[in-house]
Amino acid sequence: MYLQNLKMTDFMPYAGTQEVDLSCDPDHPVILIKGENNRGKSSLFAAIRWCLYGKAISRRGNVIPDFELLNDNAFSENRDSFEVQLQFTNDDKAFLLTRTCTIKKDSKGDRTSSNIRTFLQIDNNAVPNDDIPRYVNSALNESISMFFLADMEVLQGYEALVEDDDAASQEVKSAIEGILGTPTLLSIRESLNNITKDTLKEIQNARKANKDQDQITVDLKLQEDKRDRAKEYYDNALQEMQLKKLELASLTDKLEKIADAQDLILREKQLQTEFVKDQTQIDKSRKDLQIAVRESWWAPVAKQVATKVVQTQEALKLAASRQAELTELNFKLDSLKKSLDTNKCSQCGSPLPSENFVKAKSEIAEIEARIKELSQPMKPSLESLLAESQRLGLFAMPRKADSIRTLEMQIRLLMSEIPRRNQAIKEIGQKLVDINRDEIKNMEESRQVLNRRIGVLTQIMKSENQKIQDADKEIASLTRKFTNLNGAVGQSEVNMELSIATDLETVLDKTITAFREAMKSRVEINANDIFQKLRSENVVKNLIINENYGLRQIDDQGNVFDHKGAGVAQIIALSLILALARSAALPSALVLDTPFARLDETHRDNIIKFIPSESKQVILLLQSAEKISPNVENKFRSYVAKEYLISKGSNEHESFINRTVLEK
Amino acid sequence: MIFAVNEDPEVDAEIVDGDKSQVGLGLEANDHIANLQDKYEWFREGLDCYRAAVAVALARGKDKRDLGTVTGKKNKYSVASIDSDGRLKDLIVTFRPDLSDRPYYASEWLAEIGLSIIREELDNGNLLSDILLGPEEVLPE
Repeated sequence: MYLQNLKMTDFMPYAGTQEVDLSCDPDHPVILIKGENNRGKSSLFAAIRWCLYGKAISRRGNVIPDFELLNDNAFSENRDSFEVQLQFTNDDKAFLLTRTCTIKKDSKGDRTSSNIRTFLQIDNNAVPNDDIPRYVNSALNESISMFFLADMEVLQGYEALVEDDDAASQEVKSAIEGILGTPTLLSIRESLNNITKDTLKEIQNARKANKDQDQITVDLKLQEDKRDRAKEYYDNALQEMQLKKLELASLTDKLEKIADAQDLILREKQLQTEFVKDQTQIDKSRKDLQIAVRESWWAPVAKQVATKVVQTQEALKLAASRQAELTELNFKLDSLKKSLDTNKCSQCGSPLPSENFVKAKSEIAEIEARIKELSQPMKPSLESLLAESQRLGLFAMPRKADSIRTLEMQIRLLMSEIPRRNQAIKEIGQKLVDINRDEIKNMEESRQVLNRRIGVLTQIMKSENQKIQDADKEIASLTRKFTNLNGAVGQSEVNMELSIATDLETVLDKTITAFREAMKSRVEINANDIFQKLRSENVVKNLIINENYGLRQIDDQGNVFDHKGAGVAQIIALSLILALARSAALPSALVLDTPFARLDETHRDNIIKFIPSESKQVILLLQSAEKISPNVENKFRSYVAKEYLISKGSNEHESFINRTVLEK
Repeated sequence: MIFAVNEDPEVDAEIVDGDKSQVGLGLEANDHIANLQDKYEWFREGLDCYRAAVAVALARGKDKRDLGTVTGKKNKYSVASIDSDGRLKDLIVTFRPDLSDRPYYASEWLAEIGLSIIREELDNGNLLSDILLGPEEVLPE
């Protein structure tokens, strides 16, 4: 990965938008960025790291919360977001990575949280959000970034890190191996291991498939047996049906020849049925008739009773009429007598004329004669008439009398059929006198039995045929399964595959061990080479590398020489970094923050002389006060592509980075 | 309770209040009943024949004089069984008030005559319904 351009907006001390062109060429691989202490060198370094991995690390090794990265001036001016954009190339592809952070405030206006958005374009094509970390790590894996984006103040005591047996040490060790390309081999080893696992799985599958095949073979046998059995039943039923149909045809033929006799027998049976039916009806009607007769026994007198009722009613009417007339006459008689006694009209009260007086007397005599006549006792008497009327009421025509005639007619009609029917039965009997009825009956019964059996056989054939079809389907399905399993099995091949994979694993394990040793040796040689060029002491000392990539000094006697100052430690660290850069499987830019902090001028000169040849791009973040020998600097400047100066702005929270004219 | 002398010494019948508590029939009448029950089967029981025969005789206005000689008369039914509701007695009294003193006694000869009529007419091919209800009235068209 080689950096092309860095653009920061309101990031840490960099208020507003500030851009740094980091492009260089092989003849001028150095980018020089100078600044006084606390001006923003490490912030610029942090900007690169934050843009790549979303984490800004403090000198103390802590992750700085995102919301603290917003420039204070921007925050006080109510700008709530900052952004870093990094352009770089990797494997001839152009990357444009942009990371933006928006700050949230609480009710008091303090920064509380942040929301980060990241965009990546590779050769102008947008990368899906989830894939961004993978692409960035492929350019420069975060785990090894500490050696390429190296804060020398942090790295100077790196051996202590690798010597410890903790997670951080393991991380450093992994990072070193990452640079050396061991992970590629480890990845191959892992792939091989996966192949072995897959092969083992295949073996298990093959074993299972074999078991499945055994089961399928058993199932196939069952289905074949089922089909054979069904076929056997089907054939038997078919054979029997053919025989039965022959028998039926023969029987039908015989029965057709005696069809007339059969018709007669049938007719006889019908007549007998009718006879029984009529007889049943006769018996029922007769019973009903007997009941009707019992309940209507006085019916013969009913008509006379009706006549008598009329006579009685007439007599009663006459009696009533006589009584009414008698009442009226008595009233009239009283009235006339009163008129005669008072000599006045009983109605109007006027004096009675003499001629009326005579007439009234005559009228009274007539009325008295009539009253006498009407007062004679009636024969029969009224009482006897009433009693008669009551008795007659008992003998009105009975309710059931009407049914007597209907039932009798019905019975007589049915009975009249009996002789005709008996005669017909008799005639049929005469015609059938020479016919063996039992034989015909037996033949009929046999025909019915045959028809029933043929029906049953048809059902059996249908059912067995269905079973055959089902079994055939099942056999076809099982055969397909069996064939498919055959393709999957090949256990001997799988065994061979496993054997090869296991052998390869062994070979690769040995290769990795050898590669590690070779790479370690290479790092050691390179580190020694670099160390010899960088160091200033005259004492012959060498570096040796241990299991954990820790570099130790040894004297020419081979004794470990552990006593060293801070400057020497930094030289050793730098030796390792440069050795790793030389040995790296994938070369990358070197960004070194404060590489000279604890070094004297001699060592600085050594580094400056040496470093431009170590990478295609070296970005050095230096303190302005760090002096280099003029003759060395002149030579060094010929490698510098661009030089920048970080300067203070109008207040403490503001820094500006400006390109400066290269001093020749 | 008054016991009267039995008119027919062959009939061993109790006399209740001057009338019979058991009624009897002669041989011929018994034969008619058997014939009506067995041949024609119009009557369920003999006492159904007895009652219907009394009604037929009354309807035809028959008198004791119309009865021929009765032989072999024997008690056949109790009055309680042939006239449990008293209707037979009422019928006789209504149509023949002159027989109201001993209606059950009268029922015997009325039944003898009625049975003879029914038997004869049925044997002549008449319908039972015509005998009991009279000829069917044909409605004028």
